Amino acid sequence: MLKGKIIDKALNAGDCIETDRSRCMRMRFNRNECNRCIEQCRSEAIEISHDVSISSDKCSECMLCVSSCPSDCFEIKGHDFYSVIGKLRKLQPSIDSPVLGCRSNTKKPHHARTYCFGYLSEEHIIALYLYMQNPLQIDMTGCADCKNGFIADTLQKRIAAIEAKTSLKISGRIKPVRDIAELDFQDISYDRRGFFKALKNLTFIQAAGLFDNEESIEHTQSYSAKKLPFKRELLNRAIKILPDEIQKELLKNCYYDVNVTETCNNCFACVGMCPTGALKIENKDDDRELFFSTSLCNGCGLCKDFCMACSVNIEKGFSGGNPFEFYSAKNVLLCEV
Amino acid sequence: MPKYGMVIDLQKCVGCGACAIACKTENNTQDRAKGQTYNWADFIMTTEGKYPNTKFTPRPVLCNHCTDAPCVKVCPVTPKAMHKHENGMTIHNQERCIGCRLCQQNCPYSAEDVDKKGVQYSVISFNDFTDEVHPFYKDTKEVIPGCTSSGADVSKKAGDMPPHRTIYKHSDYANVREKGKVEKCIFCEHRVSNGELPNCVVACPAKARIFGDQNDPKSEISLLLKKHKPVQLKNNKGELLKSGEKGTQPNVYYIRGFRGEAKKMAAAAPAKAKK
Repeated sequence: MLKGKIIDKALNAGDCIETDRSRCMRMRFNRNECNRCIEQCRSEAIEISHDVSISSDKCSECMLCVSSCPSDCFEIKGHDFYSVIGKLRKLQPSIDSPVLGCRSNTKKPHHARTYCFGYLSEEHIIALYLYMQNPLQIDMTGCADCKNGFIADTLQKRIAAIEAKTSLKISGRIKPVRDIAELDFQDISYDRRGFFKALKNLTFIQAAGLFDNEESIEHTQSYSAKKLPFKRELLNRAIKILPDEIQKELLKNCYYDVNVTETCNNCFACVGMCPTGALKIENKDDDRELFFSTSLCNGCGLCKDFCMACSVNIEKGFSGGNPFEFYSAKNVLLCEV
Repeated sequence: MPKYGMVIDLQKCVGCGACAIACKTENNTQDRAKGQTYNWADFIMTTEGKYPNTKFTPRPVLCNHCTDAPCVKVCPVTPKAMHKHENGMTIHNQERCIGCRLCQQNCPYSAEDVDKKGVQYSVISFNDFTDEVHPFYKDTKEVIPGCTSSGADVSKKAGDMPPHRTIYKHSDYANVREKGKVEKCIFCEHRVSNGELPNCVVACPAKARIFGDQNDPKSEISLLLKKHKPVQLKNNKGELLKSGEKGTQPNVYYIRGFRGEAKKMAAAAPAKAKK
């Protein structure tokens, strides 16, 4: 039985992206025309019609769909970004500059390996920047020979984009390395005890990998379920620990403000439409009102597109008080800056 | 493929309400509140004239499972939460419903708030985002303080919520609906697919409700539709579709209305009164 599983696993390695149509903006609202994942996909593997599907024959696993979707319709099966960060952080005292590599570049030694870097969105990069004390090298020496080689440029563009938006000095701490000569891999020296500990951990991780996907036959959530996209979660964690100035920059460039005009008739259809739970109904005296929290908003704009009374406005940039609080969407916030 | 429909014989119906109760227990619908009826089987009751010359007419109403269903057309999600099954039934899927209530707004037989709209019924009811479903059976307040137990106690003792819950399985439907979702009559598809009749049909003591396949020319419903001139409802105000008017092509028909009889009776009544 186990043998069968291992063979299955090896054969199905192609489709490592899970789709959840209930998160897709076009599945939630039939007049939405979001095309972000399809535009990004170079192998034309994504099809959106009555469902969202990825053709595993065509998919090159560049993971650009994962990072381009604002509401987490695509997820890498069993991937845990926090464990990647954890692994790299553990090395920090002994290794000057850990190396993060990708799974297809197995020729080079790495401190941690992950899927193709295409899934590293701006939010992921900010998180890496924040949690790494020592500079992190991203090994892109294999990209030149890889079908997903274009990701090297994408990643550099993303780093540049963050630096343009904020005063974070990303490139000081996150270093994409393309030239083999520049790559500086420092081996971890294990003592006897350490070696066996590492071996034990490795065995456990490999064994767990064989069993993790038991229940993931049907992955679609209820459409009414609210789920905060992982990218937004990373950003929310980041602004909590960043200095005020940078927090303001991020709030201005990556957060959104939703407000409603007087024409709002409290039908609350937007509350149902919102995939992330940024809008909610709050009882106020005898009446009910629409409340909004920017920390839960991914800026997809479904609320605005769907509003039948055309009352909803969504703007980039948040300049109100606490981004983690809900406030009445009827009180139009004026820019204070 | 069958095309299910229902015929209601108005001369057999006395408005006893057995169908409504049977539906509520079968489908575990909650009590009417805040403009939502949650009555999948309901009535339009009309009382005309002055005592002693009064006329009372009950008309059982339910989802018309329209062939040209506007609720399905407007549903914004993909695949549609409100959708047609091949057997002609209009079925609502719980998993995909986001609670936008477009179906309720666009159904000619529904109202977002029956109290505000001043109508007697609504086919589609909405379980609010914030209010508890079946609040009575979650309330821990004693119904009569110091005397009776509370709704929550009863459902705890019964071991289910609501206490009289009918447990059934349906491809799209939960037998008790969640917050933030709409609900409506599903023609008891869970029963029909097992070869049973909808519970309202079973419960009717006068056999006024006839359920069956309109595509089968030998079925009782087809024969009745041929024998009598059926009428269909146009909206939830009790107006009927005129001949030639298609409306949304409802699949619930009314036969043997008292209209003709009533006119005759009205004509005869003043003569009697003079005597």
